[in-house]
Amino acid sequence: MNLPSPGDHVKSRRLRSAVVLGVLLLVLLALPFVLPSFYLFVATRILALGLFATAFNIVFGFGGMPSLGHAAFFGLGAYVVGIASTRSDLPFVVIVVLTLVAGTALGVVFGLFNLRAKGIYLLLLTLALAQAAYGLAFQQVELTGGDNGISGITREGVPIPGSASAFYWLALAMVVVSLSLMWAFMRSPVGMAITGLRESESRLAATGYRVGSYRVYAFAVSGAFSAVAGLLDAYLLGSASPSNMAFLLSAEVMVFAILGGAAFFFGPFLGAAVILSLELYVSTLTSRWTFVLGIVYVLTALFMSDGILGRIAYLRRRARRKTAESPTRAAAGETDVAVPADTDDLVEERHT
Amino acid sequence: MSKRRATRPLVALTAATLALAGCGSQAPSSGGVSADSGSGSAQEGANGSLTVGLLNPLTGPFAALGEDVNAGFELYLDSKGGQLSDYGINVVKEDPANDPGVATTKARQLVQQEGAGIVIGLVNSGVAYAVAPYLESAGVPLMITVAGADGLTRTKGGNLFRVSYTGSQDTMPAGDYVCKELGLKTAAIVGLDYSFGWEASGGFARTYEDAGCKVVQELYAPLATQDWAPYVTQINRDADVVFAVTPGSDAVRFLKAYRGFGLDTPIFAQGSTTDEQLLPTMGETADGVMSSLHYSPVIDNPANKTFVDAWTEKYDRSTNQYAEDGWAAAQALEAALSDVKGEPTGDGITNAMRNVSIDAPRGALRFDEYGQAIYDVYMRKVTKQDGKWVNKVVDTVPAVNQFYTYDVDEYLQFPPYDKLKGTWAK
Repeated sequence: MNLPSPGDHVKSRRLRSAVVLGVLLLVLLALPFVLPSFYLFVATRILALGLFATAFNIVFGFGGMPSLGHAAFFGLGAYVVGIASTRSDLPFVVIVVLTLVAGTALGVVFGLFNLRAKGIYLLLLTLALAQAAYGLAFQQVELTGGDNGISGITREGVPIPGSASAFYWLALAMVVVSLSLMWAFMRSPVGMAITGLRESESRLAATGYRVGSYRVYAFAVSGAFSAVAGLLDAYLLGSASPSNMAFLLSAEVMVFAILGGAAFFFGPFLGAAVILSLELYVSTLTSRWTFVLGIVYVLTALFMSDGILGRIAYLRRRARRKTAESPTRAAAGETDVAVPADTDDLVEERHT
Repeated sequence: MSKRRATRPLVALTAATLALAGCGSQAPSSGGVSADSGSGSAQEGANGSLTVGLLNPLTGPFAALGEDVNAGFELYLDSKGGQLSDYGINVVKEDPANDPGVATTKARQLVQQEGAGIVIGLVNSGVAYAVAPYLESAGVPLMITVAGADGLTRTKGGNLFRVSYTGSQDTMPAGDYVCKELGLKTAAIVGLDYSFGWEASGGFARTYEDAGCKVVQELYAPLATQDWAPYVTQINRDADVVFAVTPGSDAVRFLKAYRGFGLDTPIFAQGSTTDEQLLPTMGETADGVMSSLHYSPVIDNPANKTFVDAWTEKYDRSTNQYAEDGWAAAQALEAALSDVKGEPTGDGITNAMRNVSIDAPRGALRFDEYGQAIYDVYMRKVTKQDGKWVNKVVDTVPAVNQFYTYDVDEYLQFPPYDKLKGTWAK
């Protein structure tokens, strides 16, 4: 058989990924010209929550730490905007920096609390921390407006404040930059070590890594970008409220990640887009929309626990294998275990 | 795993989603949860038509309230054959899902996609605060039917109107009444620990103390407190009256604990604590509880008779303030539309709304210059009537506005109630 050399394969794969990403970016850039204003609003919201889901996945999908408290970071970002923009006239850039600093700091706190906790204990600890943050937001009325939240957040400080399209492009730019940074981070030695946390923490520790510090790094980076997502959402909605910090949001972002495919970099983003669209569509059709979404979640958990991208990668592998099928392989008994290296860059499963 | 087995779940998932989405679908192209009345074809009246966006919760903790508001609105609309002042009314319902993010999205959907000319609804004040600025900027009037935060109606000449109460509006007359008419000189306040609890308690405490009586204790419990025993046992037994602001399911548990511990201090409550949605559940425990509210199903006037008859015929249960809020909102809209000439624009409806004066089931209703309703407030007592527990009207305070008897400018200088919380008993 005339097989291409491995080098060619990698090159063509990279090229294809670059082309796909480039086309996708062009489409996203052109959206304001074709979408009615309402759908542009929804698209901007998907960008913000997609960024949130991607940031969350650093801890969840890559670090293997099931955090149920990520709404705290998102809400923190929203409140930084709410407080800074209604009580001061700080420039936008300063607010972004403040958000990043606040998100990182809270991430460090989360990380330090979770130096050793694993699995269900980590889940409970992060939930408790987030509930504490929620309680603060609810009770510190002077600062946060209590259960009424902070409303009337204007985009005055934002570059080109008036137009919805301009804000969409700003959000798109911030999301693209954030995703690129996270992508690069996950491929850095620190990012690799974070993935190592998921694969085998004990082996990582045995090779001399200080596993605790990588947990803190993961939470810090994830927290910083989650806060940026909260910032975008607050500017978009014009309000910040305790529901930005609520348990429901923490659970929802986990569903985004799982439905899209938590083992993939772009899985959570896709999950956020799918669920937000579905939510909008179904709730317009019927008041029993929570029921429909519930069914989707259950079916996902039962039949698609590796998410949409996981399913696509799996089907692709099957197709590829079928074309290259030889009697010896069949005899050797093929397995259906996820084979990471064999997938496209876009749906890359493990950062090898 | 064979290929067939691998694809089956995907197919099942897709099919199930589509099937379920299809279940609720009635008119996908027109969008919106279709109204019971007049769904399908667009209503066209002699003067034109108007799309009304009902933005009330259909899921979550406030679903029962939201559904009653919607039902009240649609009942009035039905009784007028789907037209208000010869404008055909197309109702589109969306669910704010008790979340400011979803609610803001839904408000935009109503206005930008469904072409709503007015948005009516909102239960959660946090959601109302988030949604109001958008509707203001879009020039679409907003009529609030439940959300009670005082601060929502503090801007003159806006496009926001509210037929329901502000947190303190219905309790301010109560402070006066309990001190002067009932002669109960010391009060212990039991409230829920969030804005509405502070505002309702604060309104009572302000007038109660200004009338010369004394608040001796303030207790605040978190929303959805399961065990009321620790709070009930703390209540100062020397107080002449317990003033309670415990709406919703908290009311049921509070009263149960209160009776269970054998407290016999009379209770005066903010009216939502003895709401008709709760009375059948509370039963004996609510016996004799007094409260103040702008509505009771047993008010004796022709408008209320029409409303109660229409409601009980359709739903076979008591009316309540939420259903009346919806009904009154429809009446107010009808009155406003009768003043609008031609195309019902946002500005046109807003301007007409300012001069609205109607005979609602609750009695006379009009709006102040801040958009807040002025109405009679009733002093009520839970009594058994024909085998059913009702809020019997024992006294009426006419034409109560959101500032009660205080001078507006003076009132607006007062610190907000969240800052005053905890200071009344000192």
